[in-house]
Amino acid sequence: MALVEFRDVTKVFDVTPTKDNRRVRTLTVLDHVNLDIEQGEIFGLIGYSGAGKSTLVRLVNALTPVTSGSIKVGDVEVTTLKEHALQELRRGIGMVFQQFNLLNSRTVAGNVAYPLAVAGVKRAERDARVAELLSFVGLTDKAHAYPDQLSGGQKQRVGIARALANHPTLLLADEATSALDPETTQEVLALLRRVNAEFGTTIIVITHEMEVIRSTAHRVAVLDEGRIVEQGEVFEVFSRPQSPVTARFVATVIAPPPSGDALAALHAQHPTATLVTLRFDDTATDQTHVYRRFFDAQVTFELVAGGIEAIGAHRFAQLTLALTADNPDALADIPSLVGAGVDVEVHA
Amino acid sequence: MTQVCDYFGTRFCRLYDRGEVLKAFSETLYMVGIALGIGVVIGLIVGLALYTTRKGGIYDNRGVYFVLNFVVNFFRPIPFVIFIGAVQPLARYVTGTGIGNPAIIFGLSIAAGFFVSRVVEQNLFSVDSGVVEAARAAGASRPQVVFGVLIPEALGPLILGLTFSFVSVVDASAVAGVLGGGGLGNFALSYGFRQFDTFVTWATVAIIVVLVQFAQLTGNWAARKIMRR
Repeated sequence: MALVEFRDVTKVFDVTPTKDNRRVRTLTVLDHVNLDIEQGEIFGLIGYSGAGKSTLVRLVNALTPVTSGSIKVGDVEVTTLKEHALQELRRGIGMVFQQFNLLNSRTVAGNVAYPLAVAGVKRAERDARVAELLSFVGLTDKAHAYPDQLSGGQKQRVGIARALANHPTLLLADEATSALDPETTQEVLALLRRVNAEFGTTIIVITHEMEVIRSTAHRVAVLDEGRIVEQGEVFEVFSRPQSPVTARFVATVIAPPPSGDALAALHAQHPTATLVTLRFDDTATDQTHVYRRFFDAQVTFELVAGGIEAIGAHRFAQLTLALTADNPDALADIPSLVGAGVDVEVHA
Repeated sequence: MTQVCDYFGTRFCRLYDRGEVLKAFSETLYMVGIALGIGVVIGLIVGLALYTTRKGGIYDNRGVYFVLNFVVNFFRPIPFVIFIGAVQPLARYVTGTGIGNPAIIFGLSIAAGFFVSRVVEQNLFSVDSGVVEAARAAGASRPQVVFGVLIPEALGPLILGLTFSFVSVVDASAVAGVLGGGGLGNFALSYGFRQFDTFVTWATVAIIVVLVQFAQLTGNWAARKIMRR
C-alpha cells in the first residue's frame, strides 16, 4: 500500500478581484490529481513555477485545505481531519522549506528542539535528541549560534534536523535547494539521500530543477498547469520523455540531439556522411554490440555530438554519429543495421 | 539649585522647593505607567486578534476582524483632548469620578489600548509568514504559534513599538488639566503658559525631553539586546 495516496484531488483558489477584473474569479491550481507515493522512496515532483507543486505538497499535511478529492497518509484520510488530529499527523511529517523558515529568536538547538517542545517531549529527552540530530547534520559546534550567523547551506541543514526531530515517516522538501548555490545544493541533496537511506524516511522532493530529480529521486511526476502529465521511474522518464514539458526539463540536463543551425553545421562538415542519433540505455543493450555491427557491415563512424549521463543507478547515452560506407547499400536501412534495443533517429 | 535660581529667576525654584515639580513629575509617571500598563494588555490582545483574524491568518475570521478593525479605526484618530471629554461619562461610571487623575487614567488607558493595538499589529507583520507555516507544519497548535513563535519573533520590534507608545501616552497625558488632572503637562500650562512664565514652560519641556529620551534609550537598548544586533 502506498504511503501517500492522492485520489482525484482538486484545489481551487479564489482570486482576489483586481481593478481590471472586479468579478471574483477562481483559479484551478490542481486538477484531478492521482498520485501514489510508496513507502521508503524519494519521490520527485517537478514543474515550472505556478504548476501547483507547492500547493500539492501542502495538501499532504493540510497546511492548505483541499477543494475536493481524497488524500491518505498511511491509512489516515487527511482531508477530513480536525485541528487536534491534524497536529498529531503533522508531528509525523517533517517539512523543509526553500527559505528555511527558521525561528530567528531561537538558537540552532532551539530550532531543532521546537517540534519536540510542541509535541510535549521532556527536557532531557529533547536535549539528547537535539544533540543526536545536530551530529547527524554536522552542526554540533553551531548548537548555540543563531540562524542569522549561519550560511544558507547550514540553515537548510538546521531545517532538515528540525524536520527530522519527531522521527517522521515522511519528509516534505519544498524547493529545499532552490535558494542555494550548486555546491551547497549537492551537499543538501546528499543529506536528503542519507536521511532516506539511514532512516528509511519517505521523501517528497519538490523542485523545478531536473538536476535535483536526477541525482536524488527514485520516481518522478511532472506537473504542468495543475495536472500530472507524466510519472514513472526517473530513468524511464529521462530516457523517453513523452510530453513536451518533460522533454524541456530533460533538455536542461541532457542536451537534445542537434537540430537547426547545429545540425546544418554538422551536415556541412560531413557532406558525405549520414547523421544519426542513437539513444542507448544500459538496461537494453550496450554500445559495443552496435559498433561491432558497424564493423561487420564495413560502416565507419565518427562521434560528432552527444554524451553519457548517469541517472540514478543507470547510464544513459545519447550519441550523434556521422556514418559513412563505401557501399551505399550498407546505410539503406539504418534501424536494422543498428539492431534492436537502440532508439535511432536519422537526421536527413 | 541656588546658583541656577540666581541666574534664571526664582519662580521655578520656589515651585521646585514646594515639591510641585516632583509632584507633577511623579503624577505623570503614575498616569502614564498605569495607562500604558493597561493599554499594553488591551493592545496586545486586540493587536494579536487583528493580526490573527485577518484573511489568511491562523484564526482567519472575517467578522471578528471587521468589527475590531472598525472599532480601532473609529476611535484611534479622535484627538485625545476630545476623546477624554467624550468618554467622561464612562469614566465616571467605572472609576466613580469624572474628574481628576482617575478619570484621566481611564481615558488614557483606553486610548493607549487602541494605539498599542495598531502598533502590535504592525510589528507582528515583521514576522515572516513562512516561520508561522513552519511551526504549523511541525504540529504546533494555534496558541503555541501565538506564544511560542509570533510574540518571541516580533519581540524586538514590539519593544520599540512600546517605547514609541510610551512617548505618545506622555504626549496625551499633557491634556490632563482639562479634567482637573495633574502631571507635567498641567504643570507647564498652569504655572508656565497661563502665568506668562516662559522659563517654567521650557523647564518643564526639558524635564519631559529627558524623560522621553531616557525611555527611548532604554527601549532601544532592550530591543537591541533581544535582537542581538
